[in-house]
Amino acid sequence: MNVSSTSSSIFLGCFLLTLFGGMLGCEQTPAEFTANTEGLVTPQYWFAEQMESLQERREEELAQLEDPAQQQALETQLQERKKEIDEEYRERFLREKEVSTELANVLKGYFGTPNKPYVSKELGLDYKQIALASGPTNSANDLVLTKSGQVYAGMPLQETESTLVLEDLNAGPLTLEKSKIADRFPQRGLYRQHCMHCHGMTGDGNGPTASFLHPYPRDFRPGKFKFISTHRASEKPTKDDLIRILKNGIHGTAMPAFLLLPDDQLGALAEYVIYLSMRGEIELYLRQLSEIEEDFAVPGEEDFTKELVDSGIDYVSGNWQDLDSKRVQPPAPPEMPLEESIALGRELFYDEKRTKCAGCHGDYALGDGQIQVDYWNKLKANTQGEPVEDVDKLFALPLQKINPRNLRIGTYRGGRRPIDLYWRMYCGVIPSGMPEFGSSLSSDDIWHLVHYVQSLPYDSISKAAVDHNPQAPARERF
Amino acid sequence: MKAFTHWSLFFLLVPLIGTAIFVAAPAMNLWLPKDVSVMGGEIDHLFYLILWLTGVVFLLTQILLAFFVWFYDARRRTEPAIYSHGNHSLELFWTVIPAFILVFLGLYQIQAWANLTMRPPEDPALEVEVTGRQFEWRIRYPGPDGEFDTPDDLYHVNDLHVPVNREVVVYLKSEDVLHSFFLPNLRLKQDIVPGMTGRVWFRAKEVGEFDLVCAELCGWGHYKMKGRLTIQSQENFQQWLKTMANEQEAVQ
Ligand SMILES: [Cu+2]
Repeated sequence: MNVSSTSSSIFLGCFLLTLFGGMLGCEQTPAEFTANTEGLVTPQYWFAEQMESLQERREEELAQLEDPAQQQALETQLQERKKEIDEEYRERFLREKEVSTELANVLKGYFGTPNKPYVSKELGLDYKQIALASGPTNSANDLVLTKSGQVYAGMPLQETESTLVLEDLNAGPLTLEKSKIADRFPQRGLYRQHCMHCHGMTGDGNGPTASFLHPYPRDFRPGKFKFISTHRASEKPTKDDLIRILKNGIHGTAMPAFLLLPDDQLGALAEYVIYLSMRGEIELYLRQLSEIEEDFAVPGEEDFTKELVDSGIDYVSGNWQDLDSKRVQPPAPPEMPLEESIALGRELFYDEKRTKCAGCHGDYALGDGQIQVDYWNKLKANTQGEPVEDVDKLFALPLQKINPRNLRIGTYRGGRRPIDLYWRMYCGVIPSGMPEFGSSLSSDDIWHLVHYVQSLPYDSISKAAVDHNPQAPARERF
Repeated sequence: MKAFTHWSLFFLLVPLIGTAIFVAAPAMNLWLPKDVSVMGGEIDHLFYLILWLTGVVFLLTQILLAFFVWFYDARRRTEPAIYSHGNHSLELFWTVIPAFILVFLGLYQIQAWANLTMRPPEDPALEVEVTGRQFEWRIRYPGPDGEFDTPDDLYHVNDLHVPVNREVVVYLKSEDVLHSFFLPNLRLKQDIVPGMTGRVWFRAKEVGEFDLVCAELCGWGHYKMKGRLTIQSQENFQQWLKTMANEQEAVQ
């Protein structure tokens, strides 16, 4: 019985692999990073906004006019405005194209491509780990340090039995004797094997399986992360934070646990996530600057570009340095009976001045207080959190709202240990709108809240209702 | 070109290659995985019994087929074919014998089936809950108080630890779709139906690390549901529980 079912599942597996492999185009297409414009006012975004406000103006003003001649005049006026918008859109579009091309070249020099990543020394990343995680699945490749000091971890241009011809962006083609190559890696492509189908080839959170997940897989490029253990100012996860998420998964989302992967592979994947984030952040940083500095888009002005790029690299890689020293180390929980601590935590939970927990998590902590739009979806929504239709269409994935956590089901996305909950409250879950309480609450207060939250899955909701409003008749307590 | 005249030999290759594959499989590590369950011997015995029965019938019918192809070759026999209309005793023969075999197998396996599905251990040393989820195994131990849904429950993922030589009961749940909890080395496989709690039990007889896999295609990430079964000595298992509990209570 075992033999037949095992072999049939192997057949099915092979079939599906072929199917998916073909669909995802894993191995065939050369991987390139695509331009990231999410989070920016792109020409398309600008145009959609303009058209929407034009439409609103038309509806408003037409309703007030009764004379057909006046209406005609307004229409002409609006036509004029439309022409202006079209003209400006054209200009913006061309400029954006220029900026994109320039940026792509610049970034390629510092980061390479997903198949052939470079790791500039300034970035402070571990090139061996990046090599292990990048590239096509199960590809065996060579990784060497090139003349210019950059690390090359990609496919060779040419290969004979004894030599490799590599492409070095600064020095041109470079021939190396294989026997002198120090590091050879047996297997690469971990990211594409385990992560790519959700998080996308370039870490844009839009892989083939992304659209049917809630919440969407993380887009690494803006460099925003939810589950961090560092002080507020950094807003970055330590490598341990990333590895912990990789190991345990994020229960309550589609992120599975990779507990059984060997440590070196987990480390490599976490490093690659940081690499993708850094690249995306530098891209966004430079794009934002290019919106201010008109000259940036002019190709050929090398000095200016290099200066900007260097400032971006310094800024972004600086944010990722020394995170372990910024890790929040909580003092021990206060020594008092647990019940008392829970009661204090409960008071804090309903405190409308200091915490406002109930405002989002709901009066009964069921996560029904308020629906939120997180950082990654914010651009697609208006202030009420409703989708802005024309804008929404510009994004690959439509607007997705998120619920604050239901604290009564015992599912803790960022980890269930007391320290994890402490970090969530101390550091906040900033991109989701959960504020940090590290600067406003004492560590004892946070521990009280942690104990209260930990007690909620074992607490009866009716009891909470009675406690909350003891005088009211039962049906009015909710 | 001379036509191929030895079709009977060609058809004879089917039983020959079939048998050769079965004979070679264990040496090529394609056979049953190592059995580490006290119930495994019984299951394997049934498997082999049925394999022998079907194997013998397979060989007989295939050899007979090759013989007929050779014997009734038009080039060998010139007399015209005779069409007959059934043979009562023959039909009785090939209906009654398989029926007997089937009834025999049905009765013969009843004990194993009952042990596997109807006789849970009365006082199991460990109860553990395994929840299939796209695409991982969420594992929960009841903690020191022996009760689920209390604050001392112990949570883990993808790595099921159990003690050796003890009765273990596993409660099976699904958070989303059909999964199948499959421990090849324990000869244990049980589909998990969302909304139902399944229950399986086993007693492992050897320490080591073995596969825990999902045997029901449950979505695009099905292949990710490869977990691990870690069978430990009683002391090591208790030690592991303690370490995990400490880790779960970490405040710094
Ligand atoms: Cu499954």
